[in-house]
Amino acid sequence: MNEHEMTDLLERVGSCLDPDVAWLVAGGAARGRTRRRRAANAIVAGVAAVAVVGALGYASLPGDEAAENDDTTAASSPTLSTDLPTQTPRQFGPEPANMGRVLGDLLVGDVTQIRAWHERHGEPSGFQAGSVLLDGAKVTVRLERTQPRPPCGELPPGAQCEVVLGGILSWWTRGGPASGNGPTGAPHPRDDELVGARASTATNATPDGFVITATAWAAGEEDAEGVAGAAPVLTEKQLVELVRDPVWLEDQQ
Amino acid sequence: MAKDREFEEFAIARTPQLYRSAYLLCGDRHGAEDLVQETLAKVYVKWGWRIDNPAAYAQTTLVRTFLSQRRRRSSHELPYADLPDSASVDPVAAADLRLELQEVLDGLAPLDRAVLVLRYSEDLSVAEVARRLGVTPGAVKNRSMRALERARERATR
Repeated sequence: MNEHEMTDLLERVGSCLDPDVAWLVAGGAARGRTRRRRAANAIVAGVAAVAVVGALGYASLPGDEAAENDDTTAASSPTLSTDLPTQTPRQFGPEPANMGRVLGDLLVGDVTQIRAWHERHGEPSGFQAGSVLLDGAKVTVRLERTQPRPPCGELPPGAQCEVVLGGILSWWTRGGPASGNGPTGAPHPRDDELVGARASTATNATPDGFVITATAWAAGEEDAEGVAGAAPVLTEKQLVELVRDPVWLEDQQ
Repeated sequence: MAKDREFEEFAIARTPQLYRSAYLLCGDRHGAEDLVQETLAKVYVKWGWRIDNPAAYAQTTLVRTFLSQRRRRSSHELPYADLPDSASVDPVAAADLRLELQEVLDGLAPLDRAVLVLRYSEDLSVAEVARRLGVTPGAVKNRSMRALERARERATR
């Protein structure tokens, strides 16, 4: 079969199709509205939780400093009392055994060596993680629960941080070896391509105490050396998008 | 509400083409319908954001959703079961086409099928197919050549 015959066959099959367009559009829009509503609810819950953190921080300020901010307190207090009870408890989205597969589904490229592991699943100190090789280079993701973090506190040197609705994002790149918690060593000089960097990491710490960490390496092994000229297989921006994906957390039923 | 109306107009205009691609990828009506609705839902959520080319965005979303769904499924199901019933289609001709399509595409990897649909049904260039699938142009050429070769072998049996 040549290219022309293939085109002809696909065209003939396509011409036989007669979809119910109105029904498909109505169904697609309905699914979309449901997703948008869930996303909006998650943001509301995140804002409420961030407000709690802020209020707690405010309450811990020394007396004089707090007195100077009385107006702010008066404005934010009613929000706390009305929004908090509506926050839906959440849990990790993927089953531990599916971590690698879910990670692979989010990546575009040649995905191989899909792996998943976990420790003390369900316990407060436990975590679950997955890894894949993306175009031959390693990418990992790790989910864990911690105490809610102060915004942009206790970050590796050189890391960038941003507080957004629903989480605290941080990201950094290193020229040294890395582990599941991200790369170590001296901060890599920020250039356009991150050429020569060993790994990049991004984290998303949510107000309700979940931490999603994603790391992309420049090679297939975490401790591989001699990757001069290579860059981590995902950019910091792509990693940030990865850790913000809603697939990692879901509302408890 | 204006955005909803815009989305609806876009979706009504694009759904026949999306459905055609979905059917060629999935090989059955129910899978194609689900894939189209899932795609429209994803586009709906992003509607109103800056999307340079909504038609291309929807098509890429559809193919990537298909590939993602196939990765999740561990079973190696055999697609291409039924052509949809339609009063306007000769059932005998439809059955013949179904068999022909089954012979040609049966057993191809999802990514190979996606390459064939984008190249020979959507008539996209090698470079554009590569960009949408996130693979190299060389991989697109190799996969389409391999798929055509396999189709030729099957057709001559």
